[in-house]
Amino acid sequence: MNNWKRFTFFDKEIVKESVKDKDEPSIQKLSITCTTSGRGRLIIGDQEGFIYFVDREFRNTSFQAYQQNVLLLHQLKERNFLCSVGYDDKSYGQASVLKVWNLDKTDKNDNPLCVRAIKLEKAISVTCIAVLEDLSQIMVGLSDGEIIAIRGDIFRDKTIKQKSIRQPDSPITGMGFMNTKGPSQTGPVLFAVTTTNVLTYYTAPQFKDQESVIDDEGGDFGSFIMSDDGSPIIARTDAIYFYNIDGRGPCFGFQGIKTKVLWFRSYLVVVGLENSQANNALFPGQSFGSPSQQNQINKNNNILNIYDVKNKYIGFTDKFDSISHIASEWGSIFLFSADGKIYQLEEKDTQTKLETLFKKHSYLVAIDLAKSQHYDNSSIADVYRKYGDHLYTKGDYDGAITQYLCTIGQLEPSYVIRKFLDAQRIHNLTSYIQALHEKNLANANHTTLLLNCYTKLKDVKKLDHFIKTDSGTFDVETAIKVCRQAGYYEHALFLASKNNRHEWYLKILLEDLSEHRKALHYIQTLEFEEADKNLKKYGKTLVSELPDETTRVLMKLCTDYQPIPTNDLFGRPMTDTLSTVSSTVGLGTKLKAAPEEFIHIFVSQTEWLVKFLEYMIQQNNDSPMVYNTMLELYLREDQQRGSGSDKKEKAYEFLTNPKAKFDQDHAMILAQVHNWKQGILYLYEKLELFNEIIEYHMENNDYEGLIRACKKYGVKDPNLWVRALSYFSITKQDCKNEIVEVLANIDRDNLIPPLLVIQILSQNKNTTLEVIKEYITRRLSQETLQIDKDYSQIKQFADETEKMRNEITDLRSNAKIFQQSKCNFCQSPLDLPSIHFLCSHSFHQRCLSENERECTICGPNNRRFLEIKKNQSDSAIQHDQFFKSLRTSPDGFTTVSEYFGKGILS
Amino acid sequence: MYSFLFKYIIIGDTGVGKSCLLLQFTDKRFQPVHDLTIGVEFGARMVTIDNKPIKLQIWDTAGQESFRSITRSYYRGSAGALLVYDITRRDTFNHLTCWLKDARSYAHSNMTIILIGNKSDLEQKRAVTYEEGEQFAKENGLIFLETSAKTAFNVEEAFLQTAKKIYEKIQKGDFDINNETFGIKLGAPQSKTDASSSGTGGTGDKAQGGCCGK
Ligand SMILES: Nc1nc2c(ncn2[C@@H]2O[C@H](COP(=O)(O)OP(=O)(O)O)[C@@H](O)[C@H]2O)c(=O)[nH]1
Ligand SMILES: [Mg+2]
Repeated sequence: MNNWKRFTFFDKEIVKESVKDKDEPSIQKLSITCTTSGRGRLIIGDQEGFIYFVDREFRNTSFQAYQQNVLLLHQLKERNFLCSVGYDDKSYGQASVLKVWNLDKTDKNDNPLCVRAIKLEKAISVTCIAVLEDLSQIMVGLSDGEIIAIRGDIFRDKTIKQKSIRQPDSPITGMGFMNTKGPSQTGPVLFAVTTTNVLTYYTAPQFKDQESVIDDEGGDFGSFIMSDDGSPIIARTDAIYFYNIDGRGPCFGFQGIKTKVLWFRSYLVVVGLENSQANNALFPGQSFGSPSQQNQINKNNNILNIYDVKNKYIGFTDKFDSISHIASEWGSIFLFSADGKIYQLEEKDTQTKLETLFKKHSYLVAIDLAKSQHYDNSSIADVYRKYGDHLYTKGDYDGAITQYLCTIGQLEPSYVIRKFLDAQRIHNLTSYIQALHEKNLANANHTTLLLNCYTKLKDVKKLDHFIKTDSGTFDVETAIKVCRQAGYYEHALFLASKNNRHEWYLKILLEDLSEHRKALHYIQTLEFEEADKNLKKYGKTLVSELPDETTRVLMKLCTDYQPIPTNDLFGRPMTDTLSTVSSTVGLGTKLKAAPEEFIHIFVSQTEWLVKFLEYMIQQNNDSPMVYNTMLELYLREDQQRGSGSDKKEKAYEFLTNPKAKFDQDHAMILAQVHNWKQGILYLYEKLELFNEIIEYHMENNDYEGLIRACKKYGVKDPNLWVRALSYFSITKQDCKNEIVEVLANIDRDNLIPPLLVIQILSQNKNTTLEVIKEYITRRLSQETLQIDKDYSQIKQFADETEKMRNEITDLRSNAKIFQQSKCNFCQSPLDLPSIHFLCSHSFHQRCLSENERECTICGPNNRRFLEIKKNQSDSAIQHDQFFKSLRTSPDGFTTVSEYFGKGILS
Repeated sequence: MYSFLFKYIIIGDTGVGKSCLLLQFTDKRFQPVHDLTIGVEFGARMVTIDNKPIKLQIWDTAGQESFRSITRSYYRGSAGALLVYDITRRDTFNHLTCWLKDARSYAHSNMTIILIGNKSDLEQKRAVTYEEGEQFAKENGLIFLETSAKTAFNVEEAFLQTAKKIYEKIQKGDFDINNETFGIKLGAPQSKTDASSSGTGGTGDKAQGGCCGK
């Protein structure tokens, strides 16, 4: 009938009392009336009015609490107080007395201190009590159905009122205060069970003990217990019912007469009758007879069940001889049988219980147990693993994987993966690896495997979901690779785009999908660096497929690049691009790539390269490479167009363009390679390599050109003529005219002495005297003329010198007569005092300033001469200067003699 | 907190998937190996109807004959009932009349009942057609849905449609909200008046005190 699993989680033992003293009464011999427990002691009341405290070793102490018998005991949980009900008066039918004991204090007789004794006003037998922990309310249930509320400060109030909150009706069989902590603010609620119904009383002052009937079925004596968390339980014959403040909660249909219930830890302990006669369950909800009947039945075997109501199993079940009292302490349940035996049921440790559960494959219970015992995560995961293993061996792969899912984070994933790979359970495997990803515990291998699963299952929906909703729980690169391999390009593309793996994106577009246009568009949406990088990488393919568009993109890239805004075609956020665009604009710098780095991608696309480069040149790019390549292209183009037209106009035009910034050496090589005369010459000229120019002409035996060159550049480098002369002198051909022309030029600028000319010309036997006759004659006559001129000059200088010398001697030896009659300064007649200088100038003294010691007329002139003289001698000492002018002078001899004149040796 | 609390009861033969339906609704999971329900189990969940938070408190009963008497005691105080059969087992469909009779005699007359053909995922084992279920519901004035506690198909709908129906009835004024036997409770703010008027032993002056309190 009931399918709850049964375990034996308790060990049963018979308690042996350790009685030292003969005087000490044995518990086993007592006529027990009631029990309670708490604070490490079992507390027992008996027929004689004694209360016994039993310790763990089962030694007891006792004191007399009542004259007559003890009826009820209630130990508070939070404070060491004990409430008891009993009879003090001998005469039967008297009112009972409620006593409150402070167990931490003793009176003068060394007995627990009785804090308060309240004699009940009604002389009706008490069936149960309910006590609030703070002792502010004590409820007493009577057999006539009345409930007496005792409220007040039991420590101080002189008189405490006893108020009846329920009029006589069906007897009260159980009471307890519900756990009403929380937001409901109902205050203490009393839960009362009668033989016919269940009631609640709102005992907080504002509710004035408001009563509600919450169930129309009641409960018998001993059928009610409050669980540790304050929810009431009534064990009826048909079932065990749980209650809450509103009424019935769940119930468990364990049939049979129940006589005692106890809440122990998280267990419900139920003592019932093992009954063939208990088939009165045919009349469920009916109370089972009078107490006398009950006693009779008690003679029969009692059956005890310990239920774990949360995990739904029976933790212990056994038969006993009539159990009269039941209590728990020290982690054990104590059963007092009518014949004086005391049994102890001790709960097994968790590990033992778990092992039992494993043996019975009750993994779910084991998991709950482990959790309730606060096992650490790895231990709990281990239970899940065991469960998973169990289901796996049974072939329940779906079930198994559900368990393994709970091990994630603890159990090494490969353990599970291997199992399901072996079993070819790809669906299960998928869900497991998926969960790994969800918990961010997946590595690249897992991602690969998962994606492989998806692709193998052709589960595009899941793949979509995984890829599109996942937020970075996997290795993107791996995912892209796997998707690509499996041909799920869309997904790979999505991933690449979402994670900005542009290279991958383009790789797939170009290599797998041949979507060149899309790729090109994509590149244009990228930031500058990325666009630059990727165009370098994929430019070649793009140019060959889409030359026009690609070239245009490149032009843009190399001049003023700005990513075009994405139209969200690829799901990339717009704002990204926008923000960066604005930031670059803000900086005001134009982003441009180096065009020379893209030249190579135009391999075999010369036409477009030309367009590209022309544009770049037009944009004034200043990379020599661009110009070099451009030049090369022009040259090559011309060549292709046919060697017939050797004009190379374009090239020349380009070469001579002042804006062109090519590397001249490079250009030279190009011109030479293409044997482009015009270009070579232009470059020579530009580089002022005049020697090379004439050499070039020489090599090409281009006399005319040579002469022209000499004429053109002779101004800058007169030596060209000399070279031309020697060239012509050695050429075997007849080049009389040329030589004449050369000679004329040499002659004009007097480049080399005639002797040298003759020497050079003499090398060629072909040269006739006729060629140089005129030259020599001219030279000779010129020379003679010069000599004559020199002679006359020498004579002139010698005369002047003689004259000066005479003057000096004259000044030194003869007297000087001053004949001036006018002052040379003011031109008025001279009068005394007057000053006369040797230079024959005379002045009034007044016309000369005071310290004047020179003639004011000759003085400045003389001083200049002195200056020159001084300068000359000074500069003569400066040898550097001498050598320098010597080196630079066209006629060294003149320089040397000039220096002699300055007195270099004086 | 909630505006209303509706109490439901789930009935039907054993093994039709009552506990699974409840678990699917409250925990959104399916537990294939499920212990047989012994007695009555309990689940709760908040839903929203007409923008109002409503707490559903659901009794999952044992289908076996031996627990019938226990089950019966829960009919009283239920606003809605889910009467479940298993579309793969015709006998469970045949027993519906008995269950309905039970419900009609133990519950209040205005209880909202929804007929549920469960295990719709087992199409290949179907033994009761959709039309038959629909027909039975129609004849008896029940709402009808086929569900699967395994795939969660229509599970949410089953509970919600019932709640909507009850809510409509409240709007129409079909119930005395303060009478708990209808299985409907008002949310917390009204709890005091609610409690005072339902208190059988309550005297006039007490009730007044309760009202004026706050
Ligand atoms: N395939 C399938 N099985 C179900 C479904 N609902 C319940 N079951 C199974 O039916 C069995 C009985 O379910 P249970 O909820 O315990 O039924 P109850 O006795 O009505 O509570 C269990 O083995 C479930 O796995 C369903 O919607 N589809
Ligand atoms: Mg069930």
